[in-house]
This record gives sequence, structure tokens and C-alpha cells, in this order.
Amino acid sequence: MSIYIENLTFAYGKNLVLNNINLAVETGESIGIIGMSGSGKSTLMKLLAGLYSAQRGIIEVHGACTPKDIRKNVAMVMQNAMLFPASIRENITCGHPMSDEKIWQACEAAQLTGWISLLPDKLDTFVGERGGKVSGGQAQRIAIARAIAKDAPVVLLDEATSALDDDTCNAVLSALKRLTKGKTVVSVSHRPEALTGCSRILRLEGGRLYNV
Amino acid sequence: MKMNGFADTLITVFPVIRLFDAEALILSKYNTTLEEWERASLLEKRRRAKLMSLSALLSCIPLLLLFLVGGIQIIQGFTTIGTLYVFINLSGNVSGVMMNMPGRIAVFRRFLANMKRIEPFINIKDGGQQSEHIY
Repeated sequence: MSIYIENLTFAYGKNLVLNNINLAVETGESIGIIGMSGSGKSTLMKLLAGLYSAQRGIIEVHGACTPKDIRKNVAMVMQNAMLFPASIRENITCGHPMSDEKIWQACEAAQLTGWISLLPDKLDTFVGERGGKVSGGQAQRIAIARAIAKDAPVVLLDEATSALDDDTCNAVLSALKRLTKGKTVVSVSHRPEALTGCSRILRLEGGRLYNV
Repeated sequence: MKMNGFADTLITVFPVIRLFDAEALILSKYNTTLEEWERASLLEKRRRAKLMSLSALLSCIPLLLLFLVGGIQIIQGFTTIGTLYVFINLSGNVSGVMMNMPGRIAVFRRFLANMKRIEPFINIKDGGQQSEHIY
């Protein structure tokens, strides 16, 4: 079992967002979660990513139970690619030692190679404050390359293509396909059409998960 | 200003820092940005100090010229020391305004820039008539 959630409850103060959630995802399975804005999808993703601690219940991701250990097993691509004010290389490696070969492989899978080769400073190009010097699609693909380079067994996609136009969306979707190959994937979106390719789709409503 | 931007970025990318264990990278970037800011701020202070010294020197020139011309006229017997003393005292009313002129121009330009910023939100073409309708 790659992801196992049992009786998970989470609230922001008195506002109960997730109520007694149970979920089991097999290794290599790809599931989608839909729900209205504010239904708690992103909160569930943050809990699965180890960014929040469960207030009640159990979360187990690839055998890890504590948020610190869970974070090691998870790679996440969010709606707005959050880039560091650093070079493309540093945004992919996150400061960890990594060979150029591995970085270029991640760029290739994220369909960034063509664009990066045209840049004068190649991988050492500065992306600007909050990615201000690159387009939304390029920023998102850098975030995907970062997730690929981490090579985590579980991939979380939180509205990864929602902020992109159709052309950019197709390029990013193709990059995501390579990122998620052979991994356990949990995708979240408020648009059901964005979850094609998922083996199971669940709906989050009123703090509970339902099969669609 | 630059450091405020960095703090803002830190808050934005905080989940990614945690998720990808990027604390060391962001700390080194923070230190680099801090050093750059320190260097830029020192350079700006140094330049401001130099300009102020130059301004102080230049502001003395009219008074020195007045002393020179007045002194020559006293030596030549065209005027008295008392007249020169009164003239120098009164000349402050003119030279003071001229010396403060750059500051006044700067204040006016700042006012213009502020007006331009709020221009889209106010209507001054109808002489404020629209405001009456609103209220």
C-alpha cells in the first residue's frame, strides 16, 4: 500500500474541513480527487505531502507516518509554480548535490531542454524573483523537473494545470505524464476533465470522500 | 526594499522549501541578497555624503563672492563696511530662496507623482461635480 489514510480529521479552528476520511491507494495507482473550491482538496494534499500534521487519524505514505518522513517520499506540483529566486539549476536541485546528467534528464522529461539550450546562461539562467523572468508554463515545467529530479515514489498534483492556457497546458500535461510514470499519483482538480487517465476518481464534499 | 521582497518570496515558497529540503539553498540565497543589499546601501550612503559635502561647498560660493566684491568696493572707497554688512544680511532673503529651490522642485515633483498615482481614482475634469453626485 502506497498511501493509507484512516479516520483522518482536520479543522481550521472550529471549521471542520476533513471529517473522518478513509483512503487506500495501491503502489503505482493513479487517483483523482474532485471537489468545489474550498472543499478541502488542497488541505488533504498538504496533509499527504507532510506539510500539515493530522489532528486525528492516521496518514501513512510509502511506509512513513511522521510529516518529516512523509516529505521525503513525496514530490508535489502546485497550481502556481513556486520558484526560488535562483538559477534554473538551483530550482531543480534545491541545493542538493546532483550531476549535470541527472538535471538534463529531468529537463528533458519536463520538455525544457529546447528552451534552456537557447538561453545564453543555459541552466545557470536566473529565473527572477518568484519566477518573474520566465513564463507561467516554463515555471510550471521547472517545478515538474524539480519533482522528477527528486524521484519520490509518490507524486501529488494540486491543480497543476489550472492556471495555464490550452497550448501550455498540453505541453505541461505531456511533461506530467513522464513525471508520473510508474509512480503513485494523487491529482486534485475542480475540473473533472483534468483528471483523465486516473484509475479512480473520488469526490470531496462536506469533508468526506465519495466514489464517483 | 530588496530585503522586503526576499521576505515576501520566503513566505511564498515556504511549502516548497519544506517539501524539497531547500533550507540550505534559501539560506545561502538570503545571505547573498543581504550582502548585496548591504553593499548597495553603503554605496548609496557614501554617495549621499559626497553630494552633501559638495553641496555645502557650493552653497558657500555666493557668500564668498559677495565678500570678495564687497571687500574690493570697500578698499576702493565705493561703499562702507556697514552697507556691506546690511546688504549681506538682507541678501539671505534672496539667496536662501535660491538655495532651497532644488528642494522645493523635488517636493513639487513628488506631489505630481503622487497625483498621477491617484489620478485613475478621481475625477477632476468636471470640477468635482461627480463627487457631489456620489455623496
